[in-house]
Amino acid sequence: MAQYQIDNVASPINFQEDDIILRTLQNAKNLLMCRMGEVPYDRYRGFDPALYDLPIDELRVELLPELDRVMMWEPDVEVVDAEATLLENGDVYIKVIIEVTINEGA
Amino acid sequence: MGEIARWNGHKFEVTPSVIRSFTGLNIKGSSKTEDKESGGQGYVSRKQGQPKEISLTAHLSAQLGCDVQTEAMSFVNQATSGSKDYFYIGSKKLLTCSLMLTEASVSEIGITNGGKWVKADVKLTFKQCSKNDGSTGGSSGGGGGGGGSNKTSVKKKSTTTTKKTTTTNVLQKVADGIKTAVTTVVNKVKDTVTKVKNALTGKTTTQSPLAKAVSTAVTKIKSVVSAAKAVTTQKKTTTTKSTGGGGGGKRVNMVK
Repeated sequence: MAQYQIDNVASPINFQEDDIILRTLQNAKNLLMCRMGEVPYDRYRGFDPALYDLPIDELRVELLPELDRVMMWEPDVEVVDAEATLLENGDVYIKVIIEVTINEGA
Repeated sequence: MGEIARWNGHKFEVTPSVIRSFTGLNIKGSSKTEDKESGGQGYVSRKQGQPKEISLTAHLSAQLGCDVQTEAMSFVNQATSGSKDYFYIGSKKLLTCSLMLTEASVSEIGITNGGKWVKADVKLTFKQCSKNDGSTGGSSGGGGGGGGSNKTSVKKKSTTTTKKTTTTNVLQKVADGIKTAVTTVVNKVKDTVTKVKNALTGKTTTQSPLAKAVSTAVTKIKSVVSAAKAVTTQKKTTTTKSTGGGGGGKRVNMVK
């Protein structure tokens, strides 16, 4: 299975994307960018923003379990690894390595 | 901070308020194999991968801030219900697959005179419960000896063909035998009837036509019985021959 990298940098969604892998990657990135609580009737969907307020070391500890929870909404994705970096402007950059478990030929 | 490992909300950590540790982390991976033999030498080929297995022993102590009874019984209940989650060590996944708690065994329980649990060891066994294991996958190879099955199937085909041929021959021979026997019997009966008729109508001059006719009939009946016996013998011979033909099948079986 191929591994891909996504991050929490905003980018436009291509709604006409035909490739199933790219669509899955977009779904995963969309889940990562989504804030938990912002989707009506589905309040658990998205990344818990409370983690951004944790000290960076604690965020790194909590990051992978939280991403596993978030990616439960996209069952074709398995989180392999993740890394959180504190940027100079105070933002948190999250880089996630995921594995798409779809067989491309299927 | 201070977190060593985590599974399904259970944190093994060292903090100023609690020390919850484990020892004896054991990771096991194995394959199911198939015994084979070639040229008097046994060997194995891989059939399929077995679920990965992790075991560890958690040490719970009330002196180190643990609620021993609650935590131990929580593990036991989760083993009963088959709870599953990823196992994280140092904020990384130990395995990329999720793990199910399949066994929790509490031992070395220390109880105060008030009934409070002050220490316990919990041996935990986790097993892989999702397909994804981080490997590239791939089908299990059949290994050597695959040609054997092909040979067998080919031989089975030839055996079937031989059996069909043998059956056809036997049926043909039996039919011929019956036909011959019936023809013989009918002819003999016809002869007997003719002779009796001639004797009764006086066409044949005899001192005692009736006695001679009866004697002739008995003789003919004896000959019919002999003919029938001959037919039975012929049938037996035919069957024996056909069994011999089936020997072709036996040869094939011996090769198998």
